[in-house]
Amino acid sequence: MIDAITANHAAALAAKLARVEVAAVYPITPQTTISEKLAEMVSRGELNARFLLMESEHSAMSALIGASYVGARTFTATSSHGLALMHEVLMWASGVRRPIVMPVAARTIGGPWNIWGEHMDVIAERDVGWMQFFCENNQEVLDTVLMAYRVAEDPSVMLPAMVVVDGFILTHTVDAVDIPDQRLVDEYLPRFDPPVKLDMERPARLGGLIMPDWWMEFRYRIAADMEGAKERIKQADKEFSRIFGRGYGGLVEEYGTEDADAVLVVAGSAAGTAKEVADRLREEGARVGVARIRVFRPFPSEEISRLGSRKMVGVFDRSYTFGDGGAMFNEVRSALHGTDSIVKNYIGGLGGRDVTAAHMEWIFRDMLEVAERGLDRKVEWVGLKDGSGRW
Amino acid sequence: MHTGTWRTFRPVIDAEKCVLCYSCWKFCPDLSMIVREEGDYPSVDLLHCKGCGICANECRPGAITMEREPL
Amino acid sequence: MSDGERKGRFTIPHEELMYPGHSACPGCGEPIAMRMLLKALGPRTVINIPAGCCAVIPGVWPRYSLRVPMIDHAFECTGATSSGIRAALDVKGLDDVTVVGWAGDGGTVDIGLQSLSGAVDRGTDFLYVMYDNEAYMNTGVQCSGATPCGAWTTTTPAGKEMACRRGKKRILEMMVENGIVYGATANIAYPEDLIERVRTAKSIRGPKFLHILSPCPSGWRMDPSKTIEAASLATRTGMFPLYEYRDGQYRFTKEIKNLKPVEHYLRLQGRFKHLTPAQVAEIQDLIVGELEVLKAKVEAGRK
Repeated sequence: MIDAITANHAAALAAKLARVEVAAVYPITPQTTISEKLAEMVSRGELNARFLLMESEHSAMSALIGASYVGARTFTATSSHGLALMHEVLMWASGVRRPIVMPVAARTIGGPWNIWGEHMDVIAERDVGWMQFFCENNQEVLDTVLMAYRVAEDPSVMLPAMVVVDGFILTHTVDAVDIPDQRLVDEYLPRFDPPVKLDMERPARLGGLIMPDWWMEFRYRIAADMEGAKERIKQADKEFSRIFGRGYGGLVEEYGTEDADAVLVVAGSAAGTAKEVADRLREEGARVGVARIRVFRPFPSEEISRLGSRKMVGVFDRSYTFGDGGAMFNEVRSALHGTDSIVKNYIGGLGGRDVTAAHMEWIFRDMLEVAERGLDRKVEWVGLKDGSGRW
Repeated sequence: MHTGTWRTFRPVIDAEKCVLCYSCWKFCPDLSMIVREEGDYPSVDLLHCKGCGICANECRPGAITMEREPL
Repeated sequence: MSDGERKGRFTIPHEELMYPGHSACPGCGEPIAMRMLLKALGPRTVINIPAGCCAVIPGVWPRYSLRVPMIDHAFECTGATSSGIRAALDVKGLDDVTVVGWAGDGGTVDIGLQSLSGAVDRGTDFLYVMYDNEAYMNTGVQCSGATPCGAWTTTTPAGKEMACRRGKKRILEMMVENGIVYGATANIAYPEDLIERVRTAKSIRGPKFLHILSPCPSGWRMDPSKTIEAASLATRTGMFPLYEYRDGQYRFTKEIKNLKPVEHYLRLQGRFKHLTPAQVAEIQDLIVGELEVLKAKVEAGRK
């Protein structure tokens, strides 16, 4: 059934279709309407979940860890400061292998205040052991929440997942979304039945205290299982495609990259703009392509390294992290190490600044120049008022 | 964990003085004062007793003394 | 001793729901309290525990000293985690299982306060137990919101001024205002009463709060054999009165007719040894004053 809804509404519908059992909510712009939609569904009896009104995001995530241990499928949503507030508990959740799924409306973190979209909040959590899926549009948000549960709850994965939804751009924009049939979702997503959970007949300590003689082994298992999640994600995508008739191409969506001289690596809604501009430029004969990072954690090293045969790879970071270039730039460049690709970082779209077709066109043309003449500078901020920001 | 290795003093019970009030059993933090059935005299689980001396301190008739653990 | 004084009967449940061999310091009050709590609640119990001594005492992976399931979590979220566990147990139809949040004083009155307040406000059906050793003991004796007036801690070292001039946060009263359905103080020196409080709490649906005094020989600087004696004196001097709150009324659960001077309690512990007689008198006045307030509340309930 096709309806015109925001990504937030889509995320809430996905939670309902996934038959979540315990949802913990706390408001923060721009994800609040996810909680509101869930509240409506619960009060109308459409969603049979325990709905916990929490007093902070830290508490929301903590409650879900407890609930997940008991064996319930869990859901919350947050953004920005709320995500940051959860930081230690995010690490707890992945450390103790709780497959919680959480849409995150990607937004700035102050100070000073700015409530609009960019990726700094989710990028700041790239090290916490959660899978990270970046969505391009509202349809993908709904679909990815479902896929995320399937992958997260796989006994060989058992890691939590955040579904990144560009703040305001997707959360508050109405778009056509095909809402899947509940029967089909039930076929795709079995009941949550974790291998390790609370068992009153066999009392155990869930969590625990691990000394130096065992900690590394636990962490290695998490690392290995995060790596293994790559295959599970691809399988989940294929299976989704089989049942629902649409797929997303695995970890990286490649768009016109086969014969491209210059490929732009980009995540989130800006990729949509990039693809449109790429189409237009290709009509003019420019050999450009887009590699959309759908999954940032686990990092798609193999897919990215295969781009190494292109002359030039540009990486668009919708955040700034004070390193030797941006976060995605660094990981892409690292995966391209040993290849001949020239790699350049473009920073843009921060704090709700639109990433326009004009920006994207500028970037593609700059990439083609670099492909021709070599790297001029490593990092370029795109869209600043005075045009500066190049080093 | 055999916490009995932590001990420097161990409780010694004088059954003559014991009135079976079971305070020692009630208050032992380490479940090391064993009373299997009502009417039994308490005995010490030396594998786990840490020698804290609460039992001796709480024993009103003074039936428990703390003796230096042999080296 | 005459035969008439021989007793030989168990006045508290006999079955043990924990094992020996845990990591508590010799003479620690926490395992005494936990042992009694579990005897009162039985095996259909889930405990969730934050950072603190309580997280270290049950042992190191893969060993575990309790015979009920336990869920570890971060420091501040005992209340929140309890709400989550309760919600999921209800979803799974396990409504006969008691949820216990078991936290220390720091993890309750300071860093855990918001989370506890939220859980109570949500009407979570659980029992929150604060085992109170009156400081952040796991990190080596730092002042918490529950450290009593005059106590030495590493962050309130005794000086010219009385160490730690703040009194204890009145957490039970705060929880009453927050909306608990039952609250009580309990003392490991009075095991029969402690078990009675726990059983009463278990019989009522909704958020319940238990404040158990848990002497810490290490942090209170006293001989480990004195734990129960110190706990007993706390109540017999009026420093830790035993009372409960239910249905809008306060009631003493143990009336101590002739209170001993607080000095008897204070002198047992190295953390108070720096106090001058004038300061001891100040504490005596403080305790008398607080007891008057409590008596007035109890009286008000009787009307």
